[in-house]
Amino acid sequence: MNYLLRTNWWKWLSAILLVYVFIGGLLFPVPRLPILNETVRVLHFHVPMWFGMIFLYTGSVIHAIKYLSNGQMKTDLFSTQLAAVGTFFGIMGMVTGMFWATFTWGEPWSSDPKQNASAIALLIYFAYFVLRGSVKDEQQRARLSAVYNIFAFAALIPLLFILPRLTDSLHPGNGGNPGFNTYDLDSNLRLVFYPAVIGWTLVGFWIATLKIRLSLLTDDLDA
Amino acid sequence: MLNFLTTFYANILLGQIPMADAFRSDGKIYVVLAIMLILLIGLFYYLFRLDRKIKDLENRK
Repeated sequence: MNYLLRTNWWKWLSAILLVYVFIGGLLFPVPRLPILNETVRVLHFHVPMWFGMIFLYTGSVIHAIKYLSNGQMKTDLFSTQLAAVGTFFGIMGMVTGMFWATFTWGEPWSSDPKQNASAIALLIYFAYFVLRGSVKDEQQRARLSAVYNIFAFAALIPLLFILPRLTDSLHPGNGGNPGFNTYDLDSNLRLVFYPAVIGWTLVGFWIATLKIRLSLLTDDLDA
Repeated sequence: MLNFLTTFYANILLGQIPMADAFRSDGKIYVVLAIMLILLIGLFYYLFRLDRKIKDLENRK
């Protein structure tokens, strides 16, 4: 994380990647799929939000564990701000997914297992911030929320990756549906999708570094 | 369920999936792209400016 605070090259990379993703996402040929039609292009925007959330939450939990071993407030700050941006990405993923679903699944909320599970995951992380707000003492707050962070992250695995695959689901790759791989093994989706994941994730980390630097400047630990 | 799957794959094989080909040939897709790029580049301009502002504040300290 300190490396990200000191360097800039990856910010330019994220800008270039996302410009490419916007252009390629709209102009490159896509598989002709029923129900989805052209909206399959949303893949490059909706799914990277969730990937970004996972990467950011991973960074957050790593720093939570680090805090428990070194007790430095700066580490706790890293953990918190990464969780904050991760939650923002999760909300964006949820909202874009609901909008996409309205036109493809017929309704914004189908109680699809992955929809429900990701809503629960987000609620667990909302509670993380409520917890932080409820403890006055700095060190105690940091310690308590670091432990909670670890449990919250651990909950993501069954919620997002295991549960949706066990039952019927509308999401590709879950509940007996073929993953997007079968649609595009030799197609152009991957050409845009992989850069999209990298680009959006880098933007997420960039926003996190900005929030961290801002609160280090103002000594306000909840910037 | 089986009937759905059959028609699903049959449609793909017959190439009858409607796409926005007309939209593309009209050139309208470029309008959409241009607007999205304006938004994106505006966003990055804002981010870079914010980044520089914070860097100046850090250097001043």
